Amino acid sequence: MSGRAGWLGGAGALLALAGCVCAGRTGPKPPGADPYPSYLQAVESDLGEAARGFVDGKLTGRQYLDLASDRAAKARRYRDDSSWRDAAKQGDRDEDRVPDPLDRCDSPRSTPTNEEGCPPPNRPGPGPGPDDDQRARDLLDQATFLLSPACDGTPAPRASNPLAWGHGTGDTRNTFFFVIDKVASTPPGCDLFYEMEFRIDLLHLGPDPLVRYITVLFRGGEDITPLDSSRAVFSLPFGEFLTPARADLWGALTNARSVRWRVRAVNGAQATSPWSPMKAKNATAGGMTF
Amino acid sequence: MANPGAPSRLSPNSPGLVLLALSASLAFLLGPNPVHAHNPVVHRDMTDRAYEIMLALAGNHLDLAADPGLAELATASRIAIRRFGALPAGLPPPKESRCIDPDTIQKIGTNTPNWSAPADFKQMTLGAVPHAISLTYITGNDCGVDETWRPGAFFDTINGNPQFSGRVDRTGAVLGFWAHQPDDEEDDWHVFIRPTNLGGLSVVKSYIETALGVAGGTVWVTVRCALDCAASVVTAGLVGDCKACVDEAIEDAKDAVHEGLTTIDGLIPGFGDHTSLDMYTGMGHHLNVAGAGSFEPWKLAGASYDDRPGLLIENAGPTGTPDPLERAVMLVADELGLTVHYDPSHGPKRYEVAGENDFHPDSKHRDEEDWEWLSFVHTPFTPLDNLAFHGWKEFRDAPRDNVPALGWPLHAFGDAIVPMHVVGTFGYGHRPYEDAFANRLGDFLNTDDREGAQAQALAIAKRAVAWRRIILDWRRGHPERGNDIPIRDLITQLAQRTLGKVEGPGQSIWPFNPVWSSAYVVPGPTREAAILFYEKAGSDAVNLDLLEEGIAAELAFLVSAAEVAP
Repeated sequence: MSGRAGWLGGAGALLALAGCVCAGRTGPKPPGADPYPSYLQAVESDLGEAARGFVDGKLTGRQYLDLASDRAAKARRYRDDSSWRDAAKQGDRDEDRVPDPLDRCDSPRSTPTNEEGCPPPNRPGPGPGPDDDQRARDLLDQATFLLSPACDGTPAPRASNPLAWGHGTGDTRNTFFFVIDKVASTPPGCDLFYEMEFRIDLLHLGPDPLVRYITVLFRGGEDITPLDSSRAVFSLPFGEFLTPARADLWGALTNARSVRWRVRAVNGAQATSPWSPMKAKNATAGGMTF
Repeated sequence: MANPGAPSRLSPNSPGLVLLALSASLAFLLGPNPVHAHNPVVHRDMTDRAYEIMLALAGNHLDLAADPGLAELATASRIAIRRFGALPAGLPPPKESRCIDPDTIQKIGTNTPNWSAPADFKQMTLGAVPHAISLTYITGNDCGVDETWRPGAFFDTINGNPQFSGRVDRTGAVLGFWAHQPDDEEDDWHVFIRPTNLGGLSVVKSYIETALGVAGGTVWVTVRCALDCAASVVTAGLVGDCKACVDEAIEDAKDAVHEGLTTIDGLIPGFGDHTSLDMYTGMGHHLNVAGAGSFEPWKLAGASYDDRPGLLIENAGPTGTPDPLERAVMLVADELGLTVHYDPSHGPKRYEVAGENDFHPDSKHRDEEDWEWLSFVHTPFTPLDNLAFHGWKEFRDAPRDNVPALGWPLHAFGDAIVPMHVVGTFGYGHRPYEDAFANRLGDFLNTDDREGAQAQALAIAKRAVAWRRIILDWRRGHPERGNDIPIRDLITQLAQRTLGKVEGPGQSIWPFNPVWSSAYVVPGPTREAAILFYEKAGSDAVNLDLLEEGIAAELAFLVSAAEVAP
């Protein structure tokens, strides 16, 4: 079963969930509220269906946006307009979410309408193109969230700060070290990560500055000074396996005119500190030893 | 009114944590700074520079050329500086007494800075703050000193010059710190997935917990995978594509633990700056003056609740069409029913304007059910001018107790010069634009150019006279308001000016480009390309103009705000 088929297979369950959603609401109901759980269920079902339709490629971005904003507007109208709510008690035969007493047109399923249930005016502008649509879909595969049961209940890390960087001495002269302000430790099994972003002005002969932005991620367990409670040190050794960005960073640092960097911490439950300010730091003179 | 300290509906150990994590991943998608503002340093330096120019005016270091407007501003600046100096800064004690940054220690000559503060640290006056405070003063865990701060260029010769008072006035740096602080108000907006939607994903958590065992580790699950699992409401275990993608993620996690290394290069897609779990700080930091969202067959524009609309994601952007990043967020929010979580959110209570009679209509009140009616992408958020008003009101009514509250209006001035904030979008290049802006800030402010900074100070002061005139005219027209300030008008006018400066035929390339936000969120070459696009877009002249106008508006505001202080 494909991923999309899985979604569609779950659509029935989602509808059931939508019912739970309404049942779980609290607070005052509008007067004459009888139909509202089912009305809102229906709108939420439409919104979910529109989203899946776009992800599956059955709807363009334009169609998705039109349908989503149409259904949201109708839900807001239902919330704000008692006559609309009263009319809704009498049903919605074509399921366009315009109550039958106010509906003057039969609408195809899952299409936007105007207030009378008839085709709306065209939205001005061309709308998003196919490339834009694909970018939105691709983000769902690129975006991740972190999950670590061992981090349950762990608060977000405090902010860290860059402290120093430089190359080593002797046997480590081809290794770069990064020293940062260590944040509080996490429970066993709960990972802590430090993300560092570098802005490096490179030495070069051209008239314009040549700038690189490089982001690297270190696991807390890579700290080479685990017993130091205040500082964490990470290394970038030459000649060992490096991820593409780490290799990129190594190369850029060997040719840096100036370096600014910032850091933030995140634990395995995705609790994140703010970024530190971007700090300009020269390489530590004379090299670093640990 | 909800208790701002009330716990979230979901306990930390509930299955809901899975979905809160997913919610946080959405926070990332909201533009690694959900709907955020300028980088902290921009907010701080705008306010600081406004204050340094006040010092220059007050000390007759600028050529006023018999300009009555400038003369009035200089006189008002002298009074304002004295009044600010006597107000408690409102700073809590630093988190640590010892510094660990070697540069800081070298600069201040000790690793244990002496603050010379009274017993109640918060009563230390602005004029007595002995160190420039760091931007992580509250969120970090250090001694809170920023060794890199200095008044800058021309201002170094005025502020702290032995030839004059000799004392370094750090009021600007402290006010600047407060100006950035609204971006750290992580309780302003919470978003949650309704507990009844936890269904399938709670099963995922149990599955992962069993698979990882005692060694723990971190599983990286794609949003698409999570959505598959959310759609597969199972009770007996994971099935189909959901099981396949989760199994794959678990194997990757085990390998990572075994190797002890991180084999990826960034948090993909990353995380929202200043977000933690379900917090979406910046959703009240927009003021949509474009009017593009007004196309509504349903006559329900985002301004339904306030006279000016804020962020309404379904109508985001210069043309009211969300960009790819925003559409991705819409998909997930609609699929999972992500809504504003009213109880723990301060924003709905803070930024609703009621009974103020400032010649703007009150906000239309919204209760819990209004806020949680639809997913947050279909929810109109409170506008930026309301945010400014919140802080101004607090300071105006009790200035001795509320210097930190000045941070809200000062922050709003900073946001109102960001093109993306004035068309209500967290996409369209919002974050890379702000990163690029921050990286050019030193050049914009002439921090290494004494003559350039002096000339710029005079130019900004002249602009400030116009903003000061708006305030004084308003006061003359409404004498019953005393020294009140029409803050909602000021923010709105600055936002309208910002849009006027950037809109035109080329706006879909710069600044409102639909490509760069989705490129920025993936660490690596595309993020780099996105920032460099904005750094090299040939837009320095426009950005500099926006910055100078923002500083000018802040200057006029600060001078006028001091007039309500004792």
